[in-house]
Amino acid sequence: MNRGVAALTLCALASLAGLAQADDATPLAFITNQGADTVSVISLVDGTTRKTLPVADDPAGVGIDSRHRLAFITSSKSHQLSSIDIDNLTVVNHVDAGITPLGITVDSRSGRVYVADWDGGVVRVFDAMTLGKRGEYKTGATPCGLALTPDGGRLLVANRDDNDVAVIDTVNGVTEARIPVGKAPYGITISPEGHYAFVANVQSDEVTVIDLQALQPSTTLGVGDMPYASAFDPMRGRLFVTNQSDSSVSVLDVVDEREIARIPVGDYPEGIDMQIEARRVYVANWMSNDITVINADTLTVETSIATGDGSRAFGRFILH
Amino acid sequence: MTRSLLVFLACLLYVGQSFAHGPSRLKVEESIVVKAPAAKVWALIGDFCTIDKWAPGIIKSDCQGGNEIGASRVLTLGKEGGPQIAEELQKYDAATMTYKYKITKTDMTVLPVTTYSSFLSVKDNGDGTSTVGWRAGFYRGHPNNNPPADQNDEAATKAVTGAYQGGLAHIKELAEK
Repeated sequence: MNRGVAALTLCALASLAGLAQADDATPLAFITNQGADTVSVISLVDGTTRKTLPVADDPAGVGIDSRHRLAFITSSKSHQLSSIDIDNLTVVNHVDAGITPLGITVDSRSGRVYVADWDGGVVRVFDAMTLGKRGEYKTGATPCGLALTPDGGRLLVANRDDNDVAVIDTVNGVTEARIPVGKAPYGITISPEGHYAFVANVQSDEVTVIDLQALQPSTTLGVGDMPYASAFDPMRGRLFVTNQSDSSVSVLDVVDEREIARIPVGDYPEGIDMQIEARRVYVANWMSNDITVINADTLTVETSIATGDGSRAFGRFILH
Repeated sequence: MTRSLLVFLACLLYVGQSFAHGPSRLKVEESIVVKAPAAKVWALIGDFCTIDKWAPGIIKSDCQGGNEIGASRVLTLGKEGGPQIAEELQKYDAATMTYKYKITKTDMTVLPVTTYSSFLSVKDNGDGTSTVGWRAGFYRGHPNNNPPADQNDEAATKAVTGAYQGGLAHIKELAEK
C-alpha cells in the first residue's frame, strides 16, 4: 500500500516534470491529408493543431524518427519522400523516391528509412538525415505496408497484388520468406516483442496473424469491411483495426482470437496509431477529414479532431 | 506557334504522366439546402429501394431487402434495357437520417468507377430548412496505369459529380413543391 502511494507520487512528479519541460516532450501526430496536400501536426496533449504544413502532391505514407527528430512522408503523385524537422515543423529535405512511393517504416537507430514503391515493385532504403539512397530490395507486386522487427533485422512487406508478405533480411537484403496471407494485404503491425505480425487484408475482411519465429500464418481473424491498418496494444493484447468501408474500428483480443468490440469512428478510417501509456488510439478518417480519438481501456470514442481533406496517415504517425 | 504547340504537347505529356501512376481514391462531396423540414425530405429519399422516385435518369429500381443491411437494388438508367448499376445497402440509420451503400456492379459507360461507396444524409437546419448531403469515395474505372480517357480520374469524378448535382437539384425541386 505504502509502496503503491510512493509509486503514484513518483509518477505524479514525473508527469509534472514532463509538463514543465520544454516543448520537445509534447507528443505529436503527423497526419497526411491527401486531398489538401498538407500535413496536420497535432498536439496529443491538448488536441490543438500546431501547424498545417503544405507538402508535395498527394501525401499518404508517414513515418517518425524520434531519435533524429524527423518525420517522413511520401507523396505518391509527385514521387517524393520528404523529411520534416519536428522541432521547427518545416520540410527540410526531399528526394525522388520512385514511381509511386507509399508505405514508410523507419529504423531510428540505424537512421534508415524504408519506402515501398507501389508501382516500382521495390523497397528503397534512404538515409534519414541526408535522404541519400542506401539500397533497394526487390519485392512482390504492389508493395504497400511495411514494418520492422524491433531489432531492425527484418523488414516485412505487404505485397498487395501477390496476396503475401515478404520477409527481408535487412543486413544482406535476402528475402527469407514469402508468407501467403489473405486477399490484398495492406497495413502491417508487429508486436513490440517481435513475435507476431498482424496484416490487414483489404479484400478478404480479415487480419492474418503471422508467427515470426515460424515465419508462417498462425491464425486469421475476421474484422469489418475493407480493413486497412492496425495498431497493437501490448498491455491488453488487443489489436485495433480500421475498417475503411464500415466506418469502424474492430478491436481484436489476440489471445482469445476473437473480435471483442466494433467502435464507430469517422468515415473511411485509414491510418491508425497508439499511445500505449496514455491509453489512446488515434484514427485518421479519409472521408470525414478528422481524427477519432479512442480510449483504449473503455473502447469508447473520446473526441474527434478536425484535420484536412483526405486524411490517410498510413504508417506510424505519432511522435511519442 | 511551333513553340506553343511544343509546350502544349509537353503539358499533355505531363498531365498524362501525373495520372499514370497508380490510382488514388477520389472523393466527391455535394450538398444542397432545401426549404423543407428534414422529416419531409427524409420521407422522400429515405427509402433505399425507391431511388427511382427522385434520381433523374433512373427509370427502375429492382430492389430486395427494404432498408435492412445487405438490401440490394438494381438500377436501370435511361430507358428499358438501358445500362444497369447494382448497389448494396451497407448502413442505415433513420434516427440520424443517413444511409450508406456501395456499388457491386457498375456499367463503365455511365459510371466509370470501382470500389465505390456513397453516403446520403439529411440534416435539420433548425429553421425549417434542411441540408441534403451526398458524398462518395471511389477509384477510377481503369485500375491500372495509363487509363483510357473515359475511365480516368477526371471521367470518374465528372460522372459522380454530375449524378449527385442532378439528384440533389431534383430532391430540392420535389421537396419544395
